[in-house]
Amino acid sequence: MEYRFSEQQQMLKKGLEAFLKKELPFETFTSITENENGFSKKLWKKLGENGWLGVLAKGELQALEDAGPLDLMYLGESIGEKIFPGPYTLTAGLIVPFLSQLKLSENQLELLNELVGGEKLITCALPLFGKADGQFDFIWPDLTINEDSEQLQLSGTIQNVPFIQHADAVLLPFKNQSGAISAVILPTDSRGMKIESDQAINLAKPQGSMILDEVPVRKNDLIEGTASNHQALLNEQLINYFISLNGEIIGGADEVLKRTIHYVKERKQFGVPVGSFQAVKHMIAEMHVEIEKARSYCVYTAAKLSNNPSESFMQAISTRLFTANVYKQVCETAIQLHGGMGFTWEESIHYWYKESMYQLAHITHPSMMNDFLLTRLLSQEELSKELQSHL
Amino acid sequence: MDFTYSQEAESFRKDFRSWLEANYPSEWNHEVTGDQHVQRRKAWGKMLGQGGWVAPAWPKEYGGLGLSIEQQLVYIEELVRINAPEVLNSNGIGIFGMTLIRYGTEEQKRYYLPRMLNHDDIWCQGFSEPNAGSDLAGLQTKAEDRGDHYVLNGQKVWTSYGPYANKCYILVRTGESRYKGISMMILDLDQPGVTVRPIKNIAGESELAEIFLEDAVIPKTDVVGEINNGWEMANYALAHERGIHFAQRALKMQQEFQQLAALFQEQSKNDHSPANSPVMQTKLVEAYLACEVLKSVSLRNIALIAQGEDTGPLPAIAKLAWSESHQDLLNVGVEVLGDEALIKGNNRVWMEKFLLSRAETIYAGTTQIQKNIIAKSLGLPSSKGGR
Repeated sequence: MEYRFSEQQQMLKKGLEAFLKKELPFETFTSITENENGFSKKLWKKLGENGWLGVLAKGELQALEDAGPLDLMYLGESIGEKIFPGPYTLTAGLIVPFLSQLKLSENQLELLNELVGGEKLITCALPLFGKADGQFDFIWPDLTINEDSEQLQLSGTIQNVPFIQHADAVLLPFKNQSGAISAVILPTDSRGMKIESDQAINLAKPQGSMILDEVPVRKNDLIEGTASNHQALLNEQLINYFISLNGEIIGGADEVLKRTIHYVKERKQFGVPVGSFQAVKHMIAEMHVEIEKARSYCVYTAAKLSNNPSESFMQAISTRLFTANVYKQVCETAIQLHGGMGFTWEESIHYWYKESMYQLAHITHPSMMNDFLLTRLLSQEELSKELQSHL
Repeated sequence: MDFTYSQEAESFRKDFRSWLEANYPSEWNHEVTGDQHVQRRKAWGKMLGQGGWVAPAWPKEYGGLGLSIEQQLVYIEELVRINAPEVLNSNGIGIFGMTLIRYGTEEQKRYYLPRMLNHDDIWCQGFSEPNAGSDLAGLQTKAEDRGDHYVLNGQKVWTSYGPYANKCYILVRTGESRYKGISMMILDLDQPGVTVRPIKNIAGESELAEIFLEDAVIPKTDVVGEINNGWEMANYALAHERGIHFAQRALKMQQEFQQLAALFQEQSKNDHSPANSPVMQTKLVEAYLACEVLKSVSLRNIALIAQGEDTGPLPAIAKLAWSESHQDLLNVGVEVLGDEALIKGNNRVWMEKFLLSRAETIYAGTTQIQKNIIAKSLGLPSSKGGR
């Protein structure tokens, strides 16, 4: 038994921390979020050039052996601490590992290389996690498809696509006419495609809708052709994505705690630091307790992630529900402990607070996760298990 | 990161399991309560003691198993697996035994340790006093030096298993200095100067006691370690079994969660049951998450101990996580039973456990003390006049 990140993991973490410290000081963060609509091509390119987008790449692009969601989760702490303005975990934890495991055409492969190198931004039209036909599952965009022998024409609207206004292309998985999940990489300037930016509350996560009006897709351009079904691989990647995102959440919550501790030690009332009052200390202690509970839970789960998709699904949803709730609570306590300053734009806690709410609603929702877990917990399969006697 | 068990831990599991399978009385599958339960705990302690299986952490030379922390976890898992009762001397073996091994004289060890293992003596802890609870160093029970013995006057309280014990490891005041004026001694409870009065707890049971001392006598040979060094020893004693302690509780809570889920399913067959309400169902999910969280915190703690690292405030975090979520879990059981929880029927165990769990955020360092410890570890300034 060992609770310690490996030397390689620690080295990578330090490397990313150093990179972000240099390239993303807080003024740069505010400038990108307030003046550049939440994304900097320059910063993204540097991230790619330094290899950070390909840490979970497979096949020919693989840079690290045996790297998995635990590794990205750990790196994600630094991303969350800084609220990196860019789809880092989405790219490094979902799009790159997904695409790099498939047989891509030359064109697609070039796009993937450009994505990993930070030259281009490819976002992804994400599913919702919810109940469909009485079953919990990822629900992929249901587009209207017109088909002839050469091509498909896709129509429909997909909302909440992260960073779509900054993207060069979008990975679009969709339910095809046989019910399987096809996938295509669509340039955002495709004929028939319109992008509408949303006014995002979380300035570090710009998003928008893509409106498809008979967008032509050559059958040859479907990844691995018309007959392939990407559902299983996508599900697996989404589970890994959720696990990796837990790192961003923990890193963000930890940063909020650090800032709050700093504040209550400096801020004086009645002639003493407010942090010397027990009422304040106990709130700080509670924040720390919740964060460490979340960290223990996420690290343990990522290290013991099941190979059985049904179990790993449960693990991912459980940790996400717990951890994302902790993030929001921690931010709320931080706002309270910052007093009037916590309510201001200037004090900056609001950036993390909005990020925490983004995380709670991203892809799924606490109520959905709750329902899913409940269904599983009361299932015959769970109830008939022998009383557990192993930790 | 690695949460798998070592080979040596698994091989210990095999040995211990086969001993348990051969020796654990099958008639004990039927649960008992009250005095019968206490007698069973004593009998089980004797059996384990005679088989050499009762003190997992003690060195072998004193009759222990000398297990690594990982093996100790396996030890606990195997006992929880068969739902074995806790041995009656668990507090003595887990807390005082290790202290005596570290600080006691050879004579003390040779006499007391085998008797503790075999449950010939039953031990209780004499730390808290009416005016020294969270502020333990404020204790006032006095021990006066009378040449070859000490004479004790004062009162101890919240002594678990006091009504069943004949020996007590006790903290007494032997000097003026707040911390450096405390000593640890071995008190024989069977003597005229000692009165043990049971305290009926919130669930109507009398496991707790107060101990009144009026000129009680302790020979000098029963002083543990150096005089006035009791505070250090008390800290050593209490720190000792923290790692494994929470693992045991996490395991039990895991089982209780499974029982809770089964209770939900059973109750939900009745349309009017609270088990069908979304509010209660949300609480069930929260209880599940709390169990999983506690499991991970306990394992992190054990892994850190195993690799010889400082656990920092993690034991305080584990104490808070366990005590609060355990109360919540049992509360869900009580709530889902509705008015059935309030009668002593087939499901009475939920209310009994729930009532007893109210103590869990109070003993072994209250929730407030744990939060003070954590705040201190985070570098927050001390309070005016406080600690």
